[in-house]
Amino acid sequence: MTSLTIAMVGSGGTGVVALGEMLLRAAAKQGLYGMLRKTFGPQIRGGESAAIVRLGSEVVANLSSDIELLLVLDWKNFQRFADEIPFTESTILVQDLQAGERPPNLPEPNTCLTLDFLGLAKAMGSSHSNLTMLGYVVNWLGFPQNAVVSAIRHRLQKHPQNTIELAIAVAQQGAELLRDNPIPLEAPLASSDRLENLWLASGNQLIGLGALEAGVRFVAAYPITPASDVLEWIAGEIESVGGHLLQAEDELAAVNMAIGASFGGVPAMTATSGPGMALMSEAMGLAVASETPLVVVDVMRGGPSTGIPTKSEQVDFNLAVYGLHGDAPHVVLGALSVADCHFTAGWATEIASERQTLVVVLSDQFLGQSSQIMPALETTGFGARLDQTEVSQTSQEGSSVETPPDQQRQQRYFRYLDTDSGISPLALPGQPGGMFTADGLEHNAAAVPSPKAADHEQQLAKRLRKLDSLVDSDHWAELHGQGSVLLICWGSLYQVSLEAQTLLRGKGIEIVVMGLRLLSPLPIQNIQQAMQHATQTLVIEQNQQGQFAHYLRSFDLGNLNFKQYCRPGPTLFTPREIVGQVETLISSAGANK
Amino acid sequence: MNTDLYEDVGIFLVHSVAMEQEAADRMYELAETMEVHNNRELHQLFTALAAYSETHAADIKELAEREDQTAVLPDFKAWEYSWPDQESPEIFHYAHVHYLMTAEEALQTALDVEQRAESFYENIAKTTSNPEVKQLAEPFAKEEREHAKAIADQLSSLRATLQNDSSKTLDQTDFDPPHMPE
Amino acid sequence: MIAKEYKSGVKPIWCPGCGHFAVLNAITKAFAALEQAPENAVLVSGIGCSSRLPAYINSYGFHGVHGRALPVAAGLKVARPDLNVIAMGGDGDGFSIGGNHFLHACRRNVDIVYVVMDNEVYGMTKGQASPTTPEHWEHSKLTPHGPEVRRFQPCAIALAAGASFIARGYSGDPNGLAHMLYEAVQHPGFAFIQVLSQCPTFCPEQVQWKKTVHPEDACTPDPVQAAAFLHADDGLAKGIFYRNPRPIWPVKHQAIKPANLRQGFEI
Repeated sequence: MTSLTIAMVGSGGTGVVALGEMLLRAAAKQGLYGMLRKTFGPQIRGGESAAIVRLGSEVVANLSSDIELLLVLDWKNFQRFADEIPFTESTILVQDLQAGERPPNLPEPNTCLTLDFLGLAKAMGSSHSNLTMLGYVVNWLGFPQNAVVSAIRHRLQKHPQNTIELAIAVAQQGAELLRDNPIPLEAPLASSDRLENLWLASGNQLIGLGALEAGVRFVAAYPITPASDVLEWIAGEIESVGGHLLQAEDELAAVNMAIGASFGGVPAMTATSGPGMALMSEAMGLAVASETPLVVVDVMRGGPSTGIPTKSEQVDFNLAVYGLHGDAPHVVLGALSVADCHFTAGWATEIASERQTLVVVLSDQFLGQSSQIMPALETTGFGARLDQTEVSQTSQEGSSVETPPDQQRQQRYFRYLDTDSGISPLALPGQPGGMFTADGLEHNAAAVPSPKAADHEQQLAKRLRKLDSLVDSDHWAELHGQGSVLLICWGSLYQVSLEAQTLLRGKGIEIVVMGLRLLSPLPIQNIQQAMQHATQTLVIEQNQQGQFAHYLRSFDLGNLNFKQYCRPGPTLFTPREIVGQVETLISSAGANK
Repeated sequence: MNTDLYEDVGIFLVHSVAMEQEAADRMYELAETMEVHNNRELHQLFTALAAYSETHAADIKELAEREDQTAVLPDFKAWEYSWPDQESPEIFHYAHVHYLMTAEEALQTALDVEQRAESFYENIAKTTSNPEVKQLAEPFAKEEREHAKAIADQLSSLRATLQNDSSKTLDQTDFDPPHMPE
Repeated sequence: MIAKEYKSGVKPIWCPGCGHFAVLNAITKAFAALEQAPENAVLVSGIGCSSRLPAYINSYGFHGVHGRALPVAAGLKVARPDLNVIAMGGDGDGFSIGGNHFLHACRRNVDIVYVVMDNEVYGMTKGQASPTTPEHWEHSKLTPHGPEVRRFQPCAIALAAGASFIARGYSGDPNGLAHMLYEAVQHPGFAFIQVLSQCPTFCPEQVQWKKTVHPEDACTPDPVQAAAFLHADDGLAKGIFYRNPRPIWPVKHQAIKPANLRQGFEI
C-alpha cells in the first residue's frame, strides 16, 4: 500500500491537533483513506501536543513504522513525546522560521525546509501558523482548494463568517509558498470514485453507534480520559432515539444506574477506563449474580493508578477477565480496529441481553481516540433481546425451593430456573405474575436468598453454562492469511499485525494473524486448532508481563507451546517491530534445529 | 381524637374490627419471629395468643356485619383511625419485644394490652351519647375483661410455679449472641 | 388488595421487636391505600438488615450491593418512569458507604422515594457505630471510646443537598409512617424519609423512643424555615418537615435533533 505519514508538533495552543484534523478531513474530501492520531500532554491547554496523520490509497487502520514528513510549528516541549515520533535523517523536516532550536540529540535531516509560516499569517492579521502550514501541505498533496476550504469551514463551523474567511485566505497564502519551496517527495494520489461512501469516525464514537444501533437506551456516565468521548457522543444522540444518558456522581453510581435501568428491561451500558472499571468491579459482580444484562466498555489507558491517561496500553486484560470477586463468569470482548468498535459494541449488547450477563468490551486509547476515514459501515444486525418471557408456567422439579405460603401466586415464577441453556425466563417490572427480587445474595431458583450448597452449586453452574455456546460464534476472531507461523493478538495490535504480515510477505514469509475478539470465555479449541496447523506461535501484547499470554498458558495446551512478546506502552507497536519479532522467532527455531 | 368514634356505629365497628385484626396479625408476626430466633416457648405462647385474637376478630367482624347490614362500613386508610395512641390500643408494641424475653414478660405485656383494650371500650361506653354504640361497647369491654382475666390467671399460675420451684426459673445468659453477617 | 396481601410470605430474618417490621407493615398499608398494582412497584435496596425488606413485599425488588440502592433506583426510574420506585436501606448503607449517592440523589431529584431505616448502628455486622450513632456510644468493640465523631444529620443534610420532600417517621408509629409513605410516593421528585427504627438487639436503649419521639407539625415549603427547624431539632421530632416540589430529572426536552445516528460520520 502506498501511504504517507505526516507528523506535526507544537506546544499546546498552536493548533497542531486542529491542523491534523483539517488535513485528514481534506484528504477524506479527496477520497483518500487515512487516520489521525492525536497525542496530548496532561495539560488542559498548552504543554505539548502532536498529531500524526497517515494517508493512503487503501484503508489505513494503523500507524506506520516511519514518518515521511515532520511539520514543526515550534520545538518547545518536543522532547516529551519524541518517543512517539520516529524522526530519522530521511524524514523531511518542514519547520517554522520561529520554531526555535532543534533539539541537539535529533539526527540532522537530509532535507530541511525552514519557512516563515507565522510571519506570513501575521502579515494578514492572523496568529495561526497552523493555517499557512495547512495550505502549504495540502497544496503539495495536490488537493484542490475546495478540499481545504471545506475542512476549514467544518473545523470553524461555530465561528463568525469573517473568522472563517480570514482562515481560508491565510491557508491560501500558505499554499503559495509551495511554488518556491517544493517538497522533494511524491504525494499519494487520490482516487475519487468512492467519495459518496466514506465516513470519518473515531473508535469511541463507533462504540456509541454500535451500542445505540443494537438497542442501548440507557447510559450512565462518569467522565474519564480516554473514555469520555464515548459518553459525549452518546449524549448527543441518545435522546433522538428515545433514550437517556445520566451523568452520575461517580463510577460506583454509573454502573449501578446502568444495572437499575437494565433490570427495568432497558438495554444499558456505561463506559470508563481502568481506574473507573476498578471502582465498578463490585457491581459488575452483582450484574453476574443477579443475571442483569450489562455492558461495560473499558477504553484502556496507561496504568496502574492514574498512570498515563492520554496514552494507550493493553493493561486491563487481567482486570477485565479476573477482576471480579467470587466465581463470576462473564464475557470479555476486545475490539480489533477503529471500525470494529462498532461491531464489537453491537455484539456485546446482544450477548448481554440474550445471556442476561455482564459483557466487558476492551478498547484502548489508540482505537478510541484515533479518527479514521473508512468505507461507511453496514449496520451490525445485532440487537438487544429483552422481550418479556412467559413466566407463569415455569416450575422447578426437584429443587430445594421453599415456596412461600402466598395465596396471591397460584403458580410461582422461578426467575432463576435451572434450564439446559442456563438462561432463565426473565420477567420485567410491570409484568403481572413475574414478581421477584433480583439478588446479589446467593439464591435458589425461585430467587429466595439461600446459602445452601445445592443451590449455590446449581446457580453457579447455570451462570457458567449459559456462556458455553459463545465459543462457537463465528465472531470469536478474525483470521487472516496462511502460513506456518501463527501470530496471536487482540485489540489494537491486530491491525498493526496485518501490516506486519504484508511486510513479511514481501520478505517471503507467510504468517497467519489471529485477532481474538472473544477473550473470555476463550475459544481454546479454535486456538489449539490454529496452533496445531502452525509450526510456531507468537503471542504479542502491549503490557509489561504478558497478561493474555499468562491466561492462555492457564489452559491445557497439551504439547502445544508458544512464544510471547510483550512490552508496555505508551509508544505504539509498529509493523516493523512485529516483523522483527517474527523474524527472531523463525531464526531462533532454525538455530535450535 | 375524632369524636365520631364515640357516636357513629359504623365508625365504631370499623375500629373494633381493625383493632382485633391488627392485634392478631401482630401476634402472628411476633410468633413467627420467635420461631426464626428459636425461642420455642414464646413461639407457642404468641401463636396461642394470636389464635385467640383471631377468633375474637372474627366474632367482632361477624357482629359488625350483623349490626350494620344496610350501611357500608367506611374504608379507612391506616392513618385515618382515631386511636388514643399511635397504634391501636390492643397492639403488642415493638418496643416491648426482645428475642430474650421470657414467658412471664410476654404475658405481663399481653395483659397490659388486653387491659388497654378493655379501657378503650369502657371509655367509649361511658362517654358516648349514642345508645347503640353504648350497647356494643359494653359487651366488647366485657369480653376484653374476660380475656385479660384469662391471661392474668395464666400469669399468676406461671409466677406461682416459678416461686415454688426455683428450678423452673431458667438462666437467661445469652451464649449465642446475634449475628447475621452479610 | 388489603395490606396483608402485599406481603410476599418470605419470613423476615429480623430480630423480634425490630423496628423494620413496622416499616414493612407501613409499606403494605401505604400500598393498600394507594391501590398499588404489585407488578408496577419496585423496591430497591442495598445491604444490611433493613435492605432485606424487598424480598418480603409482593412486588418487584432489587437487592443490590452495599450502599448503592439509590443509583440502581435512579437508573431504573429514569429508564422506566411508569414504575413506582422506592429505594431503601439502613443508616450505614445510606449515609456512610452510600453517602455520596444520598447527596446527589437529593440534588438530582429523580422521582423516587428513599426510606432509610435508621437504628444508629450496623446490625448486620454485629453492632458497630454508624454515621448516626451517638458520639459517646461505647458499645462497639471497634470504637471502644465511642465513635467520637459528630453525628450525621440526615434531614438537615437532605435539605442542604436539595431534597424536595423531607420527613422523619418512627417505627413505633407504623400508621403515621404509612401516611408519610403515601404522601412521599405521590410527591413529584425525590422524597426522603428517615425512619427511627429501633434495634432492640444492639441498641436496647432505643426502647425509650416510645417516650421521647415527639410529633411536630412543622411542614413548610420554605427552606430557610425548614433549616432553622432542623438545626434546632433534637433528632426525635416526627413529621413531614419540608415539602416543595421542583422540576424532576430528567427534564423533558424537545428532541435535540431528529434521529439520524449515522449522519455525523458522513463526509
